[in-house]
Amino acid sequence: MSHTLYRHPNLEILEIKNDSITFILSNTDISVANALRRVMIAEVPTMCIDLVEFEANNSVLVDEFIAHRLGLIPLTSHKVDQFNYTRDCSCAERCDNCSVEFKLNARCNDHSYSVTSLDLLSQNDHVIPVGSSDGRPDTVIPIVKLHRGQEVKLRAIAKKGVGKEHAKWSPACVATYQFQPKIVINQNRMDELTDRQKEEWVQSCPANVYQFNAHQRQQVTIEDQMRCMFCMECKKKADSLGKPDLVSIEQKTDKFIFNVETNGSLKPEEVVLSAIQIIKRKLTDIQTQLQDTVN
Amino acid sequence: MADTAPTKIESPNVINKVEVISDRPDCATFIFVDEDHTLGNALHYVLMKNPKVDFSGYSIPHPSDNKMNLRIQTKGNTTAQDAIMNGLSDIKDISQSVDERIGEESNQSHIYSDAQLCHRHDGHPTNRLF
Ligand SMILES: [Zn+2]
Repeated sequence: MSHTLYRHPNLEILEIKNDSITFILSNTDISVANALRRVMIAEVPTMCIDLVEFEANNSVLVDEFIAHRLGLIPLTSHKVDQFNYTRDCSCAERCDNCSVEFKLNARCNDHSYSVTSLDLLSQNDHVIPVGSSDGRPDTVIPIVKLHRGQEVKLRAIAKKGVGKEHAKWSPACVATYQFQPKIVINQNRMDELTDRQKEEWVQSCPANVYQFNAHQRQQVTIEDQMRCMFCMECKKKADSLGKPDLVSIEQKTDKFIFNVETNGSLKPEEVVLSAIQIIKRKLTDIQTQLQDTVN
Repeated sequence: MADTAPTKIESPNVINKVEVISDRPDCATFIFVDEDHTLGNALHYVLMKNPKVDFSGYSIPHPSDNKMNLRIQTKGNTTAQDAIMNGLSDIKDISQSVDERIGEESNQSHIYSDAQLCHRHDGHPTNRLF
C-alpha cells in the first residue's frame, strides 16, 4: 500500500446489456470499491409493494403468502426520484407523492387461471411490474393459480424503499467485483511435460482457462484468463506432476472488475450512477450534521 | 392488512446522525447512526492516508444496533474534527471523479453489446445513456 491517496479512480465500461453492466474500476482502494458495491445492493431506492389489503381471497395461498409474493415483484422505478419516502412525506398516512396503488381482481370461471403480474393494474404508468409492458410470456411473473370459482381481489400499495430495509427493494440481483488474475505459465517447465501430462494439466482447470494446441507445436496457452476463479486446482495438479513452478497465479488488487445485474426495476447504468450520487449525498449530509454538532 | 416488510429502519433524517465524544481536541470518537461498513471502511482508509492522523479505527459494536463508532487520534497538529471533515471531502472527491468518468465512458456506443437493446424506456432508440 502506497502512502498517497488515490483521488482519481479510473473507470472503464466494458459492456452494457439490457440488464447487466461490466466495468473496471482501477487506481483506487478496495474500501472504495466495496462502498460502491454495498451501496448498489443496499441503498439504491426502488419502488416495491409494501402493503396489501385483501377484499377476497379463497385461493390455495393464504393472504400473507400472496402479500409476500407481491412484495417480491420488481416494479419499474425509473421515476423513483419523484417519490418521497412515506416517513418523510408531508401527508398524514400516504399520498400519490409517496405511494402507488395497484388493483388486482382475478376470478376463475374456467378450469384454471394463473394470476400473474399482468393482472396487477397500476394507477401510475411509470410504476408497473417489470416485463408486463413488453408482452413476452417469459417475462411475466406468476402470483397464484386459481381453480374454478376461486378469486383474489386486493389493493396493493407500493412504496419507495431501500435494500437495507428489505431485500425486495434492492435493484441489484448481482453486484460483485473480482480481481484481475495474472497468470504466467513457465514454458520451460511446460516443455518438460509429455503431451499427455499437458493435456491432463489443462483439463485440471474447472474454468477452462488453459488450452492445449495439439497441432501447433504442442503448446499450452491461456485461452481466457478472466475465467480464472483462483481455485488453484492447476497449482495442485502441477505439484502432483512434480513441477511446483509450472504456473504462477496472482491477483492484481489494483483493478476491480465489477459485474452488476439488475432485476429490471432500474437500468444497470442507472444503478451505478444512482449509487455514486447516494454516496456523495451521504457525505454532504454528514458534513453538515458534523458542522452543526460542533457549533 | 398484511405487511410484507416486518422490520423498519429509522428515517435517514434522524436528528442525531453523528454524536461526538471527545475530551481532547486531537482525539474523538464519532458515533454514526444508520451507517455501516460502507462509510466506516472508506473513512478509515482515507483517514489513514492523511499524514496528520496517527490512528483511526472503526467498529460496529453490535449487528442489531444501527450504530458505527469511528475513533480518530491525530498527531496534534490538527483536530480530530478537522481530520474527519477532510476525510469526508476526500471520499467526496473520489466519488466525484468516478461520477465524471462514467459520464465520459457512457458516451461511447461500442459498450452496447446488443444494438437492439439500446432503447430508452420512453421507446426511442438511442446509443447514449443520459
Ligand atoms: Zn405522502
